[in-house]
Amino acid sequence: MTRDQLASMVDAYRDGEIAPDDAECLATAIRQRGEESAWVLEELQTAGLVAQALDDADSEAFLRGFWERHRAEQDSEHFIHDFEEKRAVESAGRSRHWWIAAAMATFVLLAAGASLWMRTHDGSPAHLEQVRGEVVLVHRGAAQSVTSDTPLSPGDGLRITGEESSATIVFADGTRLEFGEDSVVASVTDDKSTGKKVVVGEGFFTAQVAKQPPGRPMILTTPQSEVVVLGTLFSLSVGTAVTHLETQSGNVQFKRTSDGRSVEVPAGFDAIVATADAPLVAQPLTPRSGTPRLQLEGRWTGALSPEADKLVATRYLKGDVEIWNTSTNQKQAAFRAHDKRTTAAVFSPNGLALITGSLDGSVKWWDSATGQLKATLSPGLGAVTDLCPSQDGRLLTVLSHDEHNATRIITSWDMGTRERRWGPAPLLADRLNFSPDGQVLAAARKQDRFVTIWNLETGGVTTVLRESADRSSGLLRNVLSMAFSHDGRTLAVDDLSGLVSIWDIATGQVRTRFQRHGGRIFGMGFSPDDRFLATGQQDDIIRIWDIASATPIAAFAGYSRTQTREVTFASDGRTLLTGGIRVATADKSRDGVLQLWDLPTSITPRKSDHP
Amino acid sequence: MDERALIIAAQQGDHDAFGELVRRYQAQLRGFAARDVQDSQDVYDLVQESFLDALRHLKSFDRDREFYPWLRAICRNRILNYFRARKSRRSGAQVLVDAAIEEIAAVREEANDDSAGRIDALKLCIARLHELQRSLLDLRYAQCIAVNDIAVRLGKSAASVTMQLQRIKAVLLECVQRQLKLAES
Repeated sequence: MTRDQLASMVDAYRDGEIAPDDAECLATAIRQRGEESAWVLEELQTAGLVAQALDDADSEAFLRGFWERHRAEQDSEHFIHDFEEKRAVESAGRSRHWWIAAAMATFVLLAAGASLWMRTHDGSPAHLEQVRGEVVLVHRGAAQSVTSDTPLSPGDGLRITGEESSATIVFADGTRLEFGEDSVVASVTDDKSTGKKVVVGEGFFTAQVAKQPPGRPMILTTPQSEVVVLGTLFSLSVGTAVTHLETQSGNVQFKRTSDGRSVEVPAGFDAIVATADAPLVAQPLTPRSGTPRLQLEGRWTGALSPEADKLVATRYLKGDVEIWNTSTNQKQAAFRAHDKRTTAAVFSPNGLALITGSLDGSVKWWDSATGQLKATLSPGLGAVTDLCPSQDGRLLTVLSHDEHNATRIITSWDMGTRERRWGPAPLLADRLNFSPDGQVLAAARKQDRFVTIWNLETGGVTTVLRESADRSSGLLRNVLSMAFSHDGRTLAVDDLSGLVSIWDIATGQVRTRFQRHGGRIFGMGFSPDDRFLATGQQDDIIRIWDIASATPIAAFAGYSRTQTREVTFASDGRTLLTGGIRVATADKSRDGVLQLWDLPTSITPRKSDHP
Repeated sequence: MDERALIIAAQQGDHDAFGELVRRYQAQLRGFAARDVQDSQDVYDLVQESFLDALRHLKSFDRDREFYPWLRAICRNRILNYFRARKSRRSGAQVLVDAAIEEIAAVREEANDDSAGRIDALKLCIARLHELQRSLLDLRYAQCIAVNDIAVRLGKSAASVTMQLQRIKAVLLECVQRQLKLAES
């Protein structure tokens, strides 16, 4: 084997693109411990050492990062230790008075009868319902798979990790906790003497708590807070740095663990526990408008025309496409664009053409007035998953999914000649966002701690946003959604810690961060003047944030159980388009909904911004 | 303060003393980990976790032994765990190569690891490269961008990017050898 061949294999291995045959050759070469083996090891070592030499983190930055991490680990250890200790004390108390417990248990059994016993799933504090996706039960430290109706034993935990995953914990009295994806429940107990206790590490859930017995409120513990509930409806969003509570009915006592201060959060109010020096107050919820101007069920992706007078909508199950007049709310045209699902539909920048992409692998141009087919492009790179025309009307970026190699492929096409400009290039990313002008793409992977910014004109990566060494910047691991501002200078990133980070792309630094409400953000978009950010969140609320004051200034009650991934302001700033996938339909099939919202006048752009 | 005094103070709970030990050995330990782990962010995490392990078990450390070999043994365990843990998110082909590297890493003689010295020498040598060569190294090894992506960006073939990187590394290795010899003499 030549050195060049070996070098190419090592590069492919480092990039995660090595073919199985090459991997076997390379592994054999390493194991032989001959000249080739020494060269490969030297090559890999040199790469690692060069990466270190290029890393500008000095020993002081490393030390700062180390103590930061040490403090975070200690906080977490104390949290778990206190929790375990409390549990041990309770258990010891129970064992000291075993005979009382036994007598009481007998009494309860006799009094309550067999029917109650059956309802409580053989003594378990609760059971699971509506289990979707990747949900793991942690029983005495061991992971077990679960299904809907799995009973929980006292002290069991849950990990809900995968995309679109969810699970509901149902207690014997009907109390329900509905957890969304990326949630960690450390423990669930329902002790007859102390009441229900749930310890949540992170995530988002809504709770419907039945009236609890006097003196035994339900207690929910998060790393930053304790929530005491007698019977109410509320939602809790738990980040690594922030816990946000919103009460829909009844009263909830919200206690900050660090200093023991607490606040009553009544219905229609919310509160945040973050750092100890921040005020702990209950604030009235941002009023919610519940009626969209136009609602299209069964459609899942769409786009507004440049003048916002037309809306293109695609049906989820088929390749059908519809064009709606947004002034009259009337359907203007409907046609079968593709044989398989239409995954993307956008207007050309001049509004005259409609461009669609599909799982059938083709891209088609249509007359947006008549729905007549104008041209077809077959990139031959697998299913088309997204499209983005540049605002100058020259480029069309196409994202495809190569099922055979399980990779995303990006290509750029000339809109006029329909010839390839660059690509195909592999794109190792599962979170993507195009800038509004179609010139730049942000790409991130769940497990990475960086975001790459692609120049779509040249097809190269121009910037890499990285977490700072001491993690004082925004977090970039487990990014769920991103959005570019219209000037292309900033990127908003939903952050695992419970914050939204606004990154300055030129400097690679975080310009500002604000505490989000309502759980993780599935989709977001900037207003045309970049003053506001609209977010579609886990609690099904669509919020509009004033970035300067970091506060939500408007909110819409979105469609129930919908992951709102599409959030786009119309170019005039007066209308918001939202669209998403409904994740919990009764028959488990996926469905979607598109909605158009009229924005309050306080949000519409200033006159000076749009002469 | 000498190392033994620092360790005694750190064992008695003096965080400044442990901080000084971190300051002294972090570069050497990062160099050690970087020989097997190519992603610099992962190296950073592994070394920080190793120091956290060391702090956690510092009271059981025998003061009559040398500190760095103990630290290195902790780090090596972390590296082996890292290889095991990442298996689930690697392709089958990558796991084949990972396994071979893991085997070699487990039996390698550690007594004379001079990685920290090599990193210092590399810093000097990289500073002497042409700006274009430095930016190519940065794209590949600091930003971890795939060769294919770099090739697209530069309008070259992947093979030519690989060759260019090989040439730069050959220049660097020669320069590093010279620097190490100079340091010895």
